[in-house]
Amino acid sequence: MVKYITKYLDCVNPLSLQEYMDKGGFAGLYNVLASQPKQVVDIVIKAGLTGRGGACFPTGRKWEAVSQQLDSQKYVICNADEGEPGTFKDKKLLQNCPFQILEGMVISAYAVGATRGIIYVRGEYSQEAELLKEASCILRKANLLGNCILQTKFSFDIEVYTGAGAYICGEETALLESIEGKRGIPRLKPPFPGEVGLWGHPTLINNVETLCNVPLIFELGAEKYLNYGSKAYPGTKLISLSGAVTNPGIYEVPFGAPLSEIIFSLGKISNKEVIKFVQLGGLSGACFSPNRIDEIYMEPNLLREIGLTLGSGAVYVASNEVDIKHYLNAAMHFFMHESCGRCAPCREGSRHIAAITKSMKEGKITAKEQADLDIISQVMKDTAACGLGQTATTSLRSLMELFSEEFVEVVEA
Amino acid sequence: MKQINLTINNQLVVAEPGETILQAAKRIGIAIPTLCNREDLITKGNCRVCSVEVEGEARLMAACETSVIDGMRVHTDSKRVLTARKTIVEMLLSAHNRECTCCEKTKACQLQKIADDLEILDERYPLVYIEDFRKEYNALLVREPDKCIKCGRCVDVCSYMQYTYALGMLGRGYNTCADFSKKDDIDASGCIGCGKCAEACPTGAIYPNKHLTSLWLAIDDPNKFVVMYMLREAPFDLGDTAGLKEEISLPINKAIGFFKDIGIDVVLDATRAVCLCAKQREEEFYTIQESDDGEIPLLTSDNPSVFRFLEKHKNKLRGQLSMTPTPMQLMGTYIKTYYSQKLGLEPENIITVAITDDLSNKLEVDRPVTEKSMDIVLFNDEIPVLVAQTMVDLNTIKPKEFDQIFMQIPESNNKKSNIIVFNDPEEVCAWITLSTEGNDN
Repeated sequence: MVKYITKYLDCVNPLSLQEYMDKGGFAGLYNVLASQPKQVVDIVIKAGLTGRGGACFPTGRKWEAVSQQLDSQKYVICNADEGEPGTFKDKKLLQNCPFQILEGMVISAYAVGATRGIIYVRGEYSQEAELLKEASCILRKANLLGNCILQTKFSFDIEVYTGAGAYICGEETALLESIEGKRGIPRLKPPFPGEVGLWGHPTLINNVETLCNVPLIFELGAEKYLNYGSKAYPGTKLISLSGAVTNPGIYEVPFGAPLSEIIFSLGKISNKEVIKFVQLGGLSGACFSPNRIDEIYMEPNLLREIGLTLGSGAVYVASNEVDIKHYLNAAMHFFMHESCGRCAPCREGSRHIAAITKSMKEGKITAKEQADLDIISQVMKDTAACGLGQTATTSLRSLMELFSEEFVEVVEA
Repeated sequence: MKQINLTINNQLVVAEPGETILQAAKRIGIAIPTLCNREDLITKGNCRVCSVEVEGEARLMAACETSVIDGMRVHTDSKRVLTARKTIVEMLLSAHNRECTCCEKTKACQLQKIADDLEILDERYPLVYIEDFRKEYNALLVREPDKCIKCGRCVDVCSYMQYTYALGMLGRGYNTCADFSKKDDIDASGCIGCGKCAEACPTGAIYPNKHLTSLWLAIDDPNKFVVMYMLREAPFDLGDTAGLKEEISLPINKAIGFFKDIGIDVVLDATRAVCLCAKQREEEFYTIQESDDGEIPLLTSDNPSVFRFLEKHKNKLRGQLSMTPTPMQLMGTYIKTYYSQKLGLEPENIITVAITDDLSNKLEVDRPVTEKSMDIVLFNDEIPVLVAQTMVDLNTIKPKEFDQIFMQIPESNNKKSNIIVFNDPEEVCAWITLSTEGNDN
């Protein structure tokens, strides 16, 4: 476990600007305002910062694309619609270091030339939204936000926007639709939000954790950031560890950290015997056997090679007492409930799958239903319009493979 | 611009940059099936029926939203594509009221056609549509949400072509359904009764109300004098309803003979009503101009839905709206007043039947502008059904001419008038934008 972006997590009062600045806060912003926006983008590219929301897209490239747009109105959006089951890292950051997030947004706005920022906070995080509003008021008074920030020509202000509880609105284009007051359904890509985003203007969308890295890169320098993690993915990652571990919680580890260290040393459990399976990347991630824990390292490229994803950094450890059928039924009902209804495979497929997992939970399914599970989950993965439908059945397919003998029992002869 | 070379099913295709796989495939005769796509609408990629395999891509790609790239290799008929297409259609059918034999849209339904093409014979997935529901809103629209496949076409024409935003997608997940923005309340919504949604629906979820039953009732009633009128020179397209393999058409003179044979008393040509209408509008304009009481230019349309659009959505322009009805309405009024006097009949004993190629006229039956002038409005599509219902042999019909009607059209006094005739809401919006820009300058 390391302490890089979690540096401010132990601030006594999250709304004390003095305390934040004493620990080094806003030193990054001073450095940024002294340089040209292009240099700022170059430093982020040099540091190799990647998106922490799940896609691991190079943040610097995203910034560069938005900064090159010629539109006079640009937006930066902080995606704080953390909805993936098993992920709770952003909540912690929102609660404890609002200034760090806001500073990250101000820097990103300076780099891409945006004048307005929006923090899209998950509907359930109402207290965090209030905290952010208060924090932005404090910054406005301190001239760190608003017109002519720190007596420069750069003006930028932030609004806090609350979602209404839809999981799909964490998808960046559905999030834009939601802010525009429309149904939260994903847009067609391309064009990407960097070209045509909020209200048709170029928009930079970054995750909370990504933005939290930004002030530190400019405070401590890109070299310090590059000290952590792997060559392809420098830096650290917050892991939301939950399930059958003694010490669940948020842990900051460098990219490439062994999973065994997270589960056994940080989670404080001693043996594999109590684990039935581990799920990586939240409810839409794949499940695998505890025997594979030792061969897994938290590095996106390495994980991709073995068919896993890091996603938002959720690690769920299922104990032996977990009933696979109940677990799957709950997971599939979640996706059925959260499907936005736009594309046919996800809308109809998630419903049929949830119906079958329900009968599975209740005891028996027919051989035809078992075949249906295979076909529908494959078709959803192949044809669904956005990530929700494409990954909704990942856990189903991986668990069916892993516990095939348990599934044979429920199929009627 | 640089051309793009790609292969579709191993066939070499040259495409323009920006073209989609769907468009490129269509040009070489490969019709990738789709339910939500229509060329004049924005691409949504909702139904995913057009999913195809692109070499090098992990997932299948929706042909309607994927642009062609040089060197792309596309397969539209691989086993993986066919399984996906069939599964999606089967799942759509599981949420669809499959009462095809008693559906208004049968034979014209695109879902039915795709299911036929894919040889879907059984109900693979359990039926789960919400409820059996049929609602006749007015003389124009009937909705059956249990047949909605959520393709979103009706919403798109309503919002982006007609600018009315009366229809929207309501609910989420599998409860999604196209509905009027004030749930199920057509009058409270912004509906202008243009009927474009009914034309856009690929299934029988929303369709035009047919007036054939009232027509037969009127014909059978000995006390009613049935007067039919139409604006028409071209023959009626009958499709293959007459039981013939090839498409056939009914020449206009034969059509008049047919209408007279089934019991229509008089068939009139409404073309003169167009001239009458134009003259009346001019008269109206001069009156306003001379009295200085009212705003100009005078705004009008031959399409009743544009009138409703101006009334409902462009309230500020109400003062400029012409009082002269559309030619079809004017003709009805003419028959009910002047013609009825000439015939010595009470107006209520005359039933007017208009044949039109614009669905928006249907609503006139419920919502006349002045007194009730249009009793029955038949859409072109209803003529083949009418022919099929009578089971006449079209070869035996004797051609007839339109009945003559005297219609006095006032002399034009060749003064300059400022009247704007809109064809659709889009023109209204464009005109508003143009005129406000003019004011700014």
